[in-house]
Order: sequence, then C-alpha cells, then structure tokens
Amino acid sequence: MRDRIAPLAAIILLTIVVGTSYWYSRMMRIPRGAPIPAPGTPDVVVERVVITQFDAHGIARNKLFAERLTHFEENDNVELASPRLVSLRPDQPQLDARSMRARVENAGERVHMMGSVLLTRAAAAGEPALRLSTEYLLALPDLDRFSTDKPVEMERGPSTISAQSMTYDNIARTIDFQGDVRASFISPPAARTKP
Amino acid sequence: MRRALLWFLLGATAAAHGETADRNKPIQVEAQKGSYNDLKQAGVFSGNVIVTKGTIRVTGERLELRKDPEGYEYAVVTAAVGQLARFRQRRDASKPGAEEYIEGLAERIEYDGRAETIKLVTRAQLIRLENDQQRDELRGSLITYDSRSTEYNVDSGNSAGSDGRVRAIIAPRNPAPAPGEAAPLKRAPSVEPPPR
Repeated sequence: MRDRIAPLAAIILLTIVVGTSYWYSRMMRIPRGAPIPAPGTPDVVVERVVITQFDAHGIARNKLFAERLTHFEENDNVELASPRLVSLRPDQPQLDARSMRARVENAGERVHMMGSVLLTRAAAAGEPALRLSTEYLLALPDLDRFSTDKPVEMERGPSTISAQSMTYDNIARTIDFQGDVRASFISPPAARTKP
Repeated sequence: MRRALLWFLLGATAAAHGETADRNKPIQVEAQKGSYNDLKQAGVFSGNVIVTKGTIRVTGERLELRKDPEGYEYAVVTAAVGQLARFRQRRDASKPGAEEYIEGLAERIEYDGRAETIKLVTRAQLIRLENDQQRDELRGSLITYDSRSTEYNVDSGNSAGSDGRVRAIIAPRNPAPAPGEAAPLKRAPSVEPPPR
C-alpha cells in the first residue's frame, strides 16, 4: 500500500501544479479591467528630465533637457515641454536646439520642434557662430538634418539670410532656402594692399 | 582668334569712377531660392535675383557667390535665356551737381573683388548716364571695367551673334578743369560712409 501512496501523491501534486499554472496563465490572458489609456492619454509623465544618448563606443553624443516628458503607449511617442537638445560631439562645433514644445517619434528618429525654435552652433576655428530661429523645425538627429516649412531667419556671424522654408544638412554644411530669400553677407574687409 | 581691342577712358575726368565706398559694403541678395555652403562659403541663388553692394545693383536670373580664403568676394550673375542681366552703379560725381550712373547689360555679369573688375560677357552694353541723360555708350561681346584704373576694355570677340565690331558713342563734354586747379574743389563732403 505504502509503495502506491508515493506515486499517487506525486501525481496529485503535479496535477495541482499544472492546474494552478494553467489557471494563472488563463488569468493573465483575460483582461481584468485594467485601465487601457484612452487615445491621447499618457502612460508615463516625468518632470524635469535629463536624457543622455551614447554612441556605440559609450561616448555621450547628445543631452536632452525638458521640463516635462510625456510618453504615449499607443504610438510610443514622447512629448516634451520646454525641451533643449545639446550635442556633445568633440569633433564638431556644439549644436544647441530649444523650443517651447517638441514631439519625438520613432525612438528619436524624428523630432518635431514647435514654438520659438532656436538652433545655435558654436563658433569654431575660423568660423563664426550660427543662429537659426523659426516657429517649427523638423530635426532628424541621426542624419544631422534640420528642415522647416515655416519662415526662418539665420545669422552667421554678422551675415543674415531669411526665407519661407529651409533644409539644413549639418554634415555637408549646406543650407537650401526656398521662397522670398533675402541675404546680407557682411565680411571683414579683405587684407587688401593700400593703393 | 580675331580680336578687336579698344582701350579708352570713359569719362574725360579721371576722378569719375565707381563709388569708392561700395567695395566695403555688405552684399545683399534677394531671390526665390538659394543654397549656401557654410564650409566653402559659396552660394547659388536663383529666381529674379537682385544683388546690391553699396550703390551697385545687379539683377538677373541666377547668382553664384563665393569668397576666397583671404575674404575677397566673387559673384557671377547670369540672365534667363533670351534675357540680359542688368548692372547699375553710381559713380563718384565728376563735377558738382551732376549725378552719374553706369548701366550695363549682358548675358553674364562677373564681379571680381580681388581684381576689382566687373566683366560684362556676351551681348554687352555699357551706358554712362549724367543726370539721367545718356552720355556714352559701348557695345561689344565683352566689356571689362577696372574700377581701380577706371579703364574700360571693350572686346568685339568672335562669338555667335557678334559681328566682330566694337561700337562706341562718346558724347561731347564740357571743358574739364585742369587737374591741378580742380583738386582743391573735389573734397568729398564726408569721408565716413553714412551710418547704417
């Protein structure tokens, strides 16, 4: 009799374990009235946030500051209040971008900056500082490209350019302007020999 | 290459040259679109381009602008097909009360900030205006104006559409005062450019 109890107990125990785990797995699958955020409702809100982005070698590339970060589960987008992005690449002049609001899409691939957008590039050897202001700017940080379909003003040292829209490639360092382009190039007088 | 070359001084008074303050003025550009390379310090603008630098005003369809490492500026303005680019510059007055302008027309207008020359290339025409009255006129396929020596070089060229002739109309002038006598009277009212 005794040698029959042990296997029986084992079978009963196993049945209980299997049954419980099955019950648990069922319980996990059945929606239990947990609040699914309505469209446009955030699932995470962080106040006064600083995010540092590193490259493959562990060197910091960008630092992002914001008064408030709001994450939306439905599309994984992030909205930022008073954001400021600063580039930290030692090989390139520092870029600084700020605006009143921003929306980050697709894990930082696209950044829409809205309201009083100001982009500056620090002066480097032989090059004056660059300053760009507009009401909207689309930044593609991985491609180092910035564009806007809104009126834009750019200052490069004492020189200025304004236009109705713009695309700026920070790697090739070319700026394309469209519509009502007005430029004023002021350069220090060339080292001329006196007549 | 057959070249008919004509050298002469447009304007009997050597003092009549482009506004000397122009070369230190900023370049202002208006256009429909533009592309500027920050590293090369070169830009291309197009669509009803208006370029001004002091009293110089050049209009055309396309502008190429660049600066060499020493800071000298170079500009090329080209006209739309079938049109002519236009150049206008006020000249330092050669006599009191007279307002002088130089007007140029060509398919291409080139400004060389280092040599301080302006070239009118293909179907070139240059007119000197005194109080809005046309005084002198030059026609050729290439007109070069050296603003340092105030000399004009007209080349008939042998390009298509050119008959290989240079044409010039020089208006009769009022007797110019001898340089020695005129010198004390030619003091400029102000040396400083007007505040911007």
